[in-house]
Amino acid sequence: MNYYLSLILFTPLIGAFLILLVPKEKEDAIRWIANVVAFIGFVISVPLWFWFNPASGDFQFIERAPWIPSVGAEYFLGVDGLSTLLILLTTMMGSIAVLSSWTAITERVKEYYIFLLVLQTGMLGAFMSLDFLLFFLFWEVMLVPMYFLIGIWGSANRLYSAIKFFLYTLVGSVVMLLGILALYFAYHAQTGVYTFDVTAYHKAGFDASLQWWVFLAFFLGFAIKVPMFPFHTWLPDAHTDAPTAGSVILAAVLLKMGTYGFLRFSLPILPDASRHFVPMMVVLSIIGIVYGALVALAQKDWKRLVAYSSVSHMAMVMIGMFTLNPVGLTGSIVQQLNHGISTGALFLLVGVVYERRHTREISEYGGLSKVMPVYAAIFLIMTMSSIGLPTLNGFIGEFLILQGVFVASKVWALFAASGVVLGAAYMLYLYQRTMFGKVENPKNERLLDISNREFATFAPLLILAVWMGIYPSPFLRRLETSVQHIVLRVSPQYAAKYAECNPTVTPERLAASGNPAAKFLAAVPCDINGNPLPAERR
Amino acid sequence: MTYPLMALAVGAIVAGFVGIPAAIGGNNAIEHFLEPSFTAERAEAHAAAEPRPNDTVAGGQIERGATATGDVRALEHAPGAAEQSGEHVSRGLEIGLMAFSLLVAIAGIAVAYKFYVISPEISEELAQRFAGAHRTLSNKYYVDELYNATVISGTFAGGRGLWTFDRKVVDGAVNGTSWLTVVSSWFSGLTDRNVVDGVVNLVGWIVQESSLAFRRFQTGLVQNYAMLMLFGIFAFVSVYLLMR
Repeated sequence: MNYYLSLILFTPLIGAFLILLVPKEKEDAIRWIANVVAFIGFVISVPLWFWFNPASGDFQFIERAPWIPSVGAEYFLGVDGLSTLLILLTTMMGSIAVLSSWTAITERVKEYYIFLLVLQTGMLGAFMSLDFLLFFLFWEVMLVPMYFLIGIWGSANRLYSAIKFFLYTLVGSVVMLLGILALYFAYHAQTGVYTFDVTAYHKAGFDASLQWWVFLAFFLGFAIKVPMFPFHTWLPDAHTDAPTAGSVILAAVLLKMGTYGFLRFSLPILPDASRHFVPMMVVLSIIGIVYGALVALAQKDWKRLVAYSSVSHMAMVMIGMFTLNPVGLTGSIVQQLNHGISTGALFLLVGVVYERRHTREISEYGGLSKVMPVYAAIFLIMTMSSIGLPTLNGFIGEFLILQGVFVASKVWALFAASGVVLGAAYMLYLYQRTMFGKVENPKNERLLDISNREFATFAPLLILAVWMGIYPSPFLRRLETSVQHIVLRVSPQYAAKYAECNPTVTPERLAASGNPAAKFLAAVPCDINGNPLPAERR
Repeated sequence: MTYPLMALAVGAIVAGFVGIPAAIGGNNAIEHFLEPSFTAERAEAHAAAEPRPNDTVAGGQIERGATATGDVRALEHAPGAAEQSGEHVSRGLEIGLMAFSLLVAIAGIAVAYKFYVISPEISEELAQRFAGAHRTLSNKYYVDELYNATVISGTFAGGRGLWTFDRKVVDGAVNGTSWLTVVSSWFSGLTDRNVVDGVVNLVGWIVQESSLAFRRFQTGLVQNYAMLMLFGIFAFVSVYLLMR
């Protein structure tokens, strides 16, 4: 039994308690504690990257203890490749978000950092939980700090946006809770055991009509969080009115909760319903891709433009996921990380100029590349990453998704590709309007280029963008078994093909056993695509 | 801007010498430099004509390419007929084409010199005389304008339309839901105050109102009560006697 995940999970919370003890007048002390704690939180999560064994298909760093024994709820943590990468993204973005707030937040500093750190624990907990009730607890824990972050430190329309964010997400999550309870009782009816253990649900086979209803319940919870068209309108408001760090966390991590929910719960627990709903999911995704991009093109508010680009990018992630093939799923997960990196950086970039000029109107800017050359260079790299320029991370994700979508349907691929083109259009149009041309607004003539602290918030994102763009293999390798696990559950063709090259697994036995992946992954002579594995990994 | 142009000019003058064709006594270095890419294709056509025993069905393309390159080298060493006829039969034509292209270039330079250096007024005159053609050419056949008017403004209009749709319809539905909640809560409040609490108050009111009638009996005068008792006894006794 090790406590590694708990350590990562509760470090930010301990920091929040420490700040609680500091008098609120000592603002710099509070800032230092928050920054140090968030940075430690990131540093202690880094070994996860090295200690995680990508060859094993099982959940790792398992922690298990009774929590509410009378209902069968447990304190059950564990990670696979998918959650490992998302946890690392969370700790990194959390640290960046805390650092980015140093000068931006001047009121109620103490409360601000406490909320930010509590939020961090909530997000990490959701990615680590393998107990559905525990997951739901952390899922709800995230809502409260974010509500206050938007509502107290936000801009003009903050109260409206905060309440909208809170209620919208709550509606979805309450319906999701009903779905969780339906599974809980159905599992009890099957096995006589009351449990919220997600890994047990992964092995169970629920009947089709139950799956149908539970999928819809989960869909509402997760689709609002992603957000998918037509449940997306909370996002531009929340993003636009949140303080910079709030937007960064919201874009980089909170949106991933929705996609993570689909990957961890909907697809493997409800495979039949997932297949059944592919047309609906794909149509909504395609609408989201094109619609989000076109609406982004029409924006006059810089931050709102980036927010709508998120709608488009996350729809891209969803279409990749619902190809239900290994390439598409891998691309979908990689693109989630990419979106975290590039959109997180884009919100940071807006925050930098917003702090200097206190406006987000695109027409207020222009020619900034003359006065802020370093800023313009970083913005260009992140714009290119968001567009999907080869050698940067966005390309890898978009390429894998398009490849997966193409295999599933060429018509879908056509629509998905149009999103990439429109993405280039709105991002370059934004870049041109803000960075190029003459400095026409006298208020922009004396803008300071980014400070060292601000550069420190961008540096890790720039490194990751280039790393993932040039050598994504370490990331892809960590995702292999997670993707395989999902595909074997959800896609009978791939499961059959997989069974063919793994003679110990016959299709019949595959159908009979709940979770083929976990049992047979130890000795696998071929991968999920049917390609023989290289000798050193057999 | 001048320096890059100078560098390019040097390149333009010198670069041609790496490819002096055989027709005028050069050895066309650039063609040989590119040879592996071109000969492979030629050789493949050659190899396709006579199938070789070591060709496999699956890897045919690659293997043929590889073996065929060897063939070509053999062909080059022993002057093959096909190769010779392909390159050297048209030597006269080649020189003729060269002379022609040279002529066209010189004529172009001469015309430009005349129009823009010796007598610039000619070009203006021409522009005036063929105003329509001049305008079309100056505007690059209006291709940019065509795109602007169709694809680009269409996309932007679509974006603006959807943005309005997003605010009015999609977000309108969300705000409509919130409005519905507010209205129904107001209505619930109204119901609560008037109907639910109204029933409670109604009970009180009924009790109060009916007391108006009953409290007349409660006069507090002993004579009245004694009188009433007497009437009661009389009534009961009468009933008893009548019913017996």
